[in-house]
Amino acid sequence: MELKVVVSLLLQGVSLGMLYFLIASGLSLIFGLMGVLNLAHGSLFMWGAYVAMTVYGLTGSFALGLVGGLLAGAALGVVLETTLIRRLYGNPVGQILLTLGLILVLDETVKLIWGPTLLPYPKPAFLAGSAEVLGRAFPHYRIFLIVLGALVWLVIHLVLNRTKVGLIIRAGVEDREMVTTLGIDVKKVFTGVFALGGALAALGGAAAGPFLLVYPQLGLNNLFPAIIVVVIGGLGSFTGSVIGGLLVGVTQSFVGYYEPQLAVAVNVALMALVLLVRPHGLLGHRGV
Amino acid sequence: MAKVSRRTGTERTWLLTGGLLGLLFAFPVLSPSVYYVSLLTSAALYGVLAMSYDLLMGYTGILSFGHALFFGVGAYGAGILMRDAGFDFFSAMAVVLALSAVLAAVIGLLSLRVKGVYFAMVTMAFAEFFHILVEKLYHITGGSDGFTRIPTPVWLGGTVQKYYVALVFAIAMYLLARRLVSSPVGSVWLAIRENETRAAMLGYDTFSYKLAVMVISGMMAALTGGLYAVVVNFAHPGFISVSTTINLLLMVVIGGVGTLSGGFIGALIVQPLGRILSSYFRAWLLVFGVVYVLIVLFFPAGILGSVRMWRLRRRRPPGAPRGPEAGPAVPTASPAGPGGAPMTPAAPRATPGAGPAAGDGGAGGP
Repeated sequence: MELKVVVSLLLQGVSLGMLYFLIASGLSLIFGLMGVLNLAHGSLFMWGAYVAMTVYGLTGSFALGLVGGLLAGAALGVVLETTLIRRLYGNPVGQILLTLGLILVLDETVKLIWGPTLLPYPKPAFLAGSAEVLGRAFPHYRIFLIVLGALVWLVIHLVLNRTKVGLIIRAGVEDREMVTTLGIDVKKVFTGVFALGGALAALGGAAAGPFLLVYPQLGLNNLFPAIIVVVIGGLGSFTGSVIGGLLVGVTQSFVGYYEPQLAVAVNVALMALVLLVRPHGLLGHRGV
Repeated sequence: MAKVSRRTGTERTWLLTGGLLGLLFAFPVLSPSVYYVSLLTSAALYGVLAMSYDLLMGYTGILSFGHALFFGVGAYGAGILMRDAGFDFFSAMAVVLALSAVLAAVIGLLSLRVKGVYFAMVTMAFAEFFHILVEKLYHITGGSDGFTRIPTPVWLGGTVQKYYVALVFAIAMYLLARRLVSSPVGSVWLAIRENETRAAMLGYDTFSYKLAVMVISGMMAALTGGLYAVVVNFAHPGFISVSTTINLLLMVVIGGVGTLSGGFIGALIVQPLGRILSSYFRAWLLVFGVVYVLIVLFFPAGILGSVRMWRLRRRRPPGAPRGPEAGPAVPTASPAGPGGAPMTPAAPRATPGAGPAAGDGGAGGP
């Protein structure tokens, strides 16, 4: 394989991986702290895309669209956590059943508001072109995705490792009871992490919209790759979701170059392998 | 297993069961159009599928996201054998049964090494892998266009014949499942659902029992898939998709987890009722989703389970201690359950076909 093809596929894989990371990181954080596998996460991703598209259409500002999507995701996360999911802590099967139902509710609401058809979500003019990398065209928008993903990773990484809130969250992932014993209001932290998870998913959707297009199955279609990423990286591990995302993105890009339909199968096989050899993922803890 | 109040209401139960069966067998005559007969046919088959899922989820406490795989293997297996390999219906079904048993055993051996959410994901991965495989092997399976023109045996020719075969099949499978869960093996399944560590400490090889329930429910699903494919002359990759499993989950949860006949009620609500209502009412799925969420939150025992619990509570004299045999499974079968409330094993023989809500499910009581 020529070097320029390798570089191009690698870049493409990284941009895809960053997108996966954005979806998967919130899912992973929520599971790590609360043990909740939020199956409605893909729907939050889709809500982000729809709200961002609408705000962008109304204001003409792509950045405002991203912010709008992010806020919508955070708000949905707070509402779902405080009204519904909170009732079922400590009951994993109940949570799975509940969040499954939330997929139906959230996705059908999208259909009622925006209709069942595919909607256009144009790229902003300044991201519509493409750069040249070793003589091959590489779209600006993919570069934007890589930068956005890296930025989000950096911010969350700093928050988790350098702030008091981050300390509490990390401690909560390790040992929830201990944190409660120390007098910290875990309830608030839970709501906060749910808001953060929803915001990350929705930001991912807002950024992915112009790239994946906007339609009512967007959420379900992206839930599955997100779960693969989280399982490979390790449920509850933030760094794991970066590694998992990049691994899945790059694999998909390279395998997809030769055999497009095989790309998903390879990732599924990768996930099954990881689960059987290291059931808790590459960076997961046995405890979670 | 404690035996619950088999004396009280026995006569009424028999009457209800008899009436229900009579109604079901007379349905093709009573129905205003054959359309409803074919709807009820597919509901009966989906009911068996949901019931086989209930064996896993409701009786053993195993949450699989890959159950649709066996349905699909049955459908494609029967289709390919009958259309392209010249098998007749019964020999094709025999092969399908053997094949699904082996497949379920292999998948079980691999995936039962992990538990809970992880098990759900491994099984989902296996199902999705086969889903992709079926779409990819275009020359054998017809890919995403589906597998068409599956031949129908003569005795299964018309809509009404199909209905009766499906009905008899559903009743037979129900009786078989009922027999299984009230057998000693069934009690061990319940014990695993309640507390796997305790069951293991009592000396039961819980892994083998879980493997057994996977193989049995897998075979039941495959058989249903084979019959379904022959009835509709068609198989589709969607049969294997995660959304089929999710549909089964909805059926079982709505009807009642750990009740067997609940699966039929759920199938009836999700399948024909859903199809009829959604053609009139655009927001039906949204309403359905909201109702489902409310059931999960407030009636975790589902329709049938809630009816049974209500009847048991009413029957017990006031002040009597709540026995350990109280009600059907509530899907909180986690060892880390809140407050460690003692989970109550389902009363398998309590009131089969309880109440009018248990009606029209194709589920005859023993």
